[in-house]
Amino acid sequence: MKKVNKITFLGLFTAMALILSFLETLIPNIVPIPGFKIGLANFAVLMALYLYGFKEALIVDLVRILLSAILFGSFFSFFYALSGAALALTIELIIKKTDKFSPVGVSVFGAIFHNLGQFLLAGFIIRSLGIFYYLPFTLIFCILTGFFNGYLVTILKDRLKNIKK
Amino acid sequence: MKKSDLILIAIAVIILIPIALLLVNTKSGDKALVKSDGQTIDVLDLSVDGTYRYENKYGFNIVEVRDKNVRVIEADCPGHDCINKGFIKRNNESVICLPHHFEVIISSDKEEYDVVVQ
Repeated sequence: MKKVNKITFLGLFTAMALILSFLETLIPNIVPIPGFKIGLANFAVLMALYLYGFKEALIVDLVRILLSAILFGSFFSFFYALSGAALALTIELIIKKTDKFSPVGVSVFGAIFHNLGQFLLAGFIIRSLGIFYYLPFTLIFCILTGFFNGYLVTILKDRLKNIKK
Repeated sequence: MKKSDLILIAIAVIILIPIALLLVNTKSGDKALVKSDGQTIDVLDLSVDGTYRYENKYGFNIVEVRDKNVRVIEADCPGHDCINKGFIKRNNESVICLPHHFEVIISSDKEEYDVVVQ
């Protein structure tokens, strides 16, 4: 039963991440990077990270990226989303392990590195640093969403503890 | 929330806000560099209006210069992020088309900032 319970909740988190990914596509893109998003969907990934663990968060993240690329994105957006997400999730895990930050700090760090990952990949592909002009602006937005995601997780993680039973 | 969270956010805000304000206040540029794969393939004078077509092995982009502004008006890339970006005019601002490895970046020979302390 425990396994079924876990699969169900991870499925729910993935569905939630997908809905948030869709909402993000309605927000005009402030930088011309395909798949660049302000990071609302990271909320569901962060919930999975705090309630279950790294492996489960990785599964939710990968399924979300794959499905949202198929549904709302393109072949290119898949790789940009993946580059940012891989870096962000790794950093979030490291920061969480240090135990010095609450979910807010973990989420903000994730947001910062999600940005950096995407900008670095984009800069590498067009072999130009011109795009970094937009980094301060996107960082401000992403830190804001990162803050709200982290705050929501702080509130919800203790209340949703019981779903693991 | 822990104290370290607040410190992190405070540092980020203190660093980012001034940089963003500085970038917003940069002067309009007077030329646009057109780059493909990092190589400058053309330099456009912003005081001359016109449309220009560039094609590389990934696809084509049509660039328009109008009233000292630059934008991409047509391209055969999948996302059309370059077209959605709209007009750019400030120094160092750029439009990029990642699928085509194509970039238009504003540049200037003059002073970079509006406010110059005498």
